[in-house]
Amino acid sequence: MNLSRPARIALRTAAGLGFAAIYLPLLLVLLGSLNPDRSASWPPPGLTLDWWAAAWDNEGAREALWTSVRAGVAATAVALVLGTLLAFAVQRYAFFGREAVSFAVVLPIALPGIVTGIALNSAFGTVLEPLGVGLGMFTVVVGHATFCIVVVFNNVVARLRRLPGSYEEAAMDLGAHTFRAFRDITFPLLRSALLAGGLLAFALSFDEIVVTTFTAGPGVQTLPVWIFNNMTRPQQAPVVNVVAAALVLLSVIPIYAAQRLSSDTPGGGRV
Amino acid sequence: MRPHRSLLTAAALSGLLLVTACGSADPAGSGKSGGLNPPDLKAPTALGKAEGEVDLIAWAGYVEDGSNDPKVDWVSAFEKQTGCQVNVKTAATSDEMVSLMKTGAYDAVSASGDASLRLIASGDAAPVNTALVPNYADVFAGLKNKEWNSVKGVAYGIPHGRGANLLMYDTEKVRPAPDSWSAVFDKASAHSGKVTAYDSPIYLADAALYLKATKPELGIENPYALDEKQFDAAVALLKEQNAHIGEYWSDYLKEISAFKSGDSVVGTSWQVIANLAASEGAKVDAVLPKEGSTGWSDTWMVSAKAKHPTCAYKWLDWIVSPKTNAQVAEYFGEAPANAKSCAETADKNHCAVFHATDEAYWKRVHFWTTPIEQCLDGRTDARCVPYAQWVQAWNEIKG
Amino acid sequence: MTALTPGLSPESARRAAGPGRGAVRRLAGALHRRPRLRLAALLTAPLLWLVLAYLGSLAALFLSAFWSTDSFTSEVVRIWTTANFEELVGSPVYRTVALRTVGVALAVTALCAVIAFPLAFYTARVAHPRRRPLFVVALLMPLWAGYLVKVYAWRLILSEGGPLDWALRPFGLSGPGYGLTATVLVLTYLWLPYMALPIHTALAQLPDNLLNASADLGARTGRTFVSVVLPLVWPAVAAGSVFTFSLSLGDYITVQIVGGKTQLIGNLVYSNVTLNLPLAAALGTVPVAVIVVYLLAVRRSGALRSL
Repeated sequence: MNLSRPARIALRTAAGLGFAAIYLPLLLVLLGSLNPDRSASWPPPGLTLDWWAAAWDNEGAREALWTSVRAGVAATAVALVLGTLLAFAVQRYAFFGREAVSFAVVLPIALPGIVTGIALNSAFGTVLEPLGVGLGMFTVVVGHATFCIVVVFNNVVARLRRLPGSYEEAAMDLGAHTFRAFRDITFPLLRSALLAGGLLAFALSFDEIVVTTFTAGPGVQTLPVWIFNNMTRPQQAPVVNVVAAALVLLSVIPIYAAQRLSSDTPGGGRV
Repeated sequence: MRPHRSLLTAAALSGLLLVTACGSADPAGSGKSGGLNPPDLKAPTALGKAEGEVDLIAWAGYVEDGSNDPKVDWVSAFEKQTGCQVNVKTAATSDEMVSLMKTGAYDAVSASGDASLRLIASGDAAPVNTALVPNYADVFAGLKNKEWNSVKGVAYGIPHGRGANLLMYDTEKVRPAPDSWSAVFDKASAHSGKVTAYDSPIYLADAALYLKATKPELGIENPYALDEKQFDAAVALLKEQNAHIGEYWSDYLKEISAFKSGDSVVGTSWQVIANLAASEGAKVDAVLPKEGSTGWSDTWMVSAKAKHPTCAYKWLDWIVSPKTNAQVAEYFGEAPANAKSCAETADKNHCAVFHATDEAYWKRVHFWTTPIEQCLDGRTDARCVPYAQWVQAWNEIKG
Repeated sequence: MTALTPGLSPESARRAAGPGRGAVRRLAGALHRRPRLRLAALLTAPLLWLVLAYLGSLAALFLSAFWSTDSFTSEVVRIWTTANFEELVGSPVYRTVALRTVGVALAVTALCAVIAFPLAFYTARVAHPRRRPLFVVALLMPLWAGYLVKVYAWRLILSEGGPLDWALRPFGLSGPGYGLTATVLVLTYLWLPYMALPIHTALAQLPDNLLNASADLGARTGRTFVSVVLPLVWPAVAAGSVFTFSLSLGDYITVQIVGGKTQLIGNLVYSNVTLNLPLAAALGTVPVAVIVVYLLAVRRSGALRSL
């Protein structure tokens, strides 16, 4: 599309303002981590690196980070398997209820977290507790995986749609059996879609708080839950700002990696 | 004071409802006797050898081992001295505390007044032999054998500390200095849009307390025992107040920042919030108004199924020992339970600021209790409004 | 296509057929001959998970909306009653809050779309192609900052005399303070990336030749935009709106922090969870019903496929 010069300038300005609006609050988080006051204030009375040192020594934050990573990885793994299976079924087969299935898979992420949270909470209470399984890491992973399936599903479905089944058929004609055709042909072609979907699933799980609140056992504290608990404690609020600032800075790595890996699809991953 | 007092009071108060159902008349009126009848459990008469570890359930900030802040640590010294390794689970709600206690995997818990009764009624918490807790002798008399930590004169736990819900105000913008809750009720219009209130159904008790003083014709005795008419009056008062509310607060930080910026200038608060806000430059003061106030208090209890009873008793003794109780009270921002702690605080004014030794002060504080249908003030000719309805009313008040 | 070479080589296929792999091969053969079996193998695990674990718990929850609680024990009484729904419909508080919540969700969605479009247009079509991936990273990065941290940052921005007041003062204006406006503003900020990313992807995938064809046929930029770009990008907007709309509809934390005394349907659900689960469940049906209707409406545009 050939845009006129004024249109380009207008778009550039709009984008500039948009990015400014996105990043100024994040800058404020960074500033908050340098603010000597224990609760937020404007303008900050001074600057200090004390909180960064305090955060470095904070065992609770480190443990919560590790818990979040484990929960995220496990939920992503489950979502990858289930999402891919479902994507193949929906994209390669016609069956009764196919539309319903592709609708149902969207529900966990579209419905409010609090509804999903209390539904799973009471179901776990009724079904799992008599079996001696209390709320804990396991239930968090189940809860997270449920709403992560859809992002993997969508990424894989989108890829399969553009991927003719003829490659697999050709492989089979040449003597490869179903599993081998998948391993050697389909999987390599899906790899980047799986990575993009998996990364988004991980990101969703990593920042989730509502479902986590209702499915986490007492000993399980993910990073958002830790932040929630500490944001409201005056002794800890600035440390939370440090953790947040550090996360924003570190997040460049996985996102950029995902961009590179999915560079064969213009625009990269799907939400 | 914990991060989400409102959330947990809601959760915790629900606990007491269960208790009353066990011990008192049911709605069909089958005529069971009133009062709490806990299972007949015996407190130990002597302690054995330390078991080497102890499993605790606690509110955030009650059992600090230096992992959140290396300078805040009263667990390491305990472990060194007693040989009892401390394993702590931080619970977020009283419900969680109760369900954890029911697993039998824990030795002791820091229960809120409402959860504590539930644990006593269900037989999960055992009576405590206070003779085995030497430091109990120094606990303030005003905290011993209260309705939330004892049954019929038998102690079920060791008091941890207490706090009152005060009236905080901006000393520059609210003049003259208020000495009555009227500042947030009848005279709230003076600061319309900058009044703040605690975001929990239990806040209805604050309104009831005010009505008790200002509308004697309603006959309110106990702010947690309101019949239909009294309750409606409290709800009406809060609906009026809502027009002047800027925001409701449920956590520390929210209120401190609101007072610092000037978004709030008058409202309910805790002493620790007033202190922190003042230390960060807000011009605020907090008072216990002439009508009195509501408040809260927690108790350390021992599990009836404790696997490490000796270490649990050692912990109870440790947490109310003068030095440790002083540390907890200062970190947490509350009045210590041990009278001798006042000599041990880093800030020598701590006890004075938190009125720790001022029993006359605490006599004016009505500690949180769960409202139930049987009126807690002893009336038998009236039916009181139960807590579940307080929750509905609170939603309606907020609109 | 180099990745395909080994699989296509007859040699390697023969190797795979070698001794010891017989069982796998037989299973593969069985699956190959029976597409129904293959489908069942694919569907069983995900459907068990989604239908049994997820939809099952949801159904159980909504079933409990027809129960009541004992006012003494707060325990659920399993006697069929529509009292909760009658209260839901009859009580003006719930009606007002439900309408307010839908209004907030719609406002947030509209704002997100309006802000995200030029942003995504720039990152997808105006910015230098080499820099585009960087801009996508820039769009996504806020997602990692932590929901709560961002909301508290906004609490500071909106506070009296805070950065927003400070920035607006030269123009004789002041920020909205805490309340409904603040809630809409902060939710828009939070969910913007969910709208911007699908639009960016759709714009980036617009074939150049289509745009050129439009221009060749004499359409001006504006006409091309309305007749070619918008229809092709619309499903992406709808897909983004599923996120912005549903995330706003269920939120209860943001409004607690910057909403002043405002409450949304999520707050009502949350305040009833421990004491009156049936009522909480009944309240929960409101956002669920709204979202299901919304999803069904949006599905026509094919949006769910570009989520």
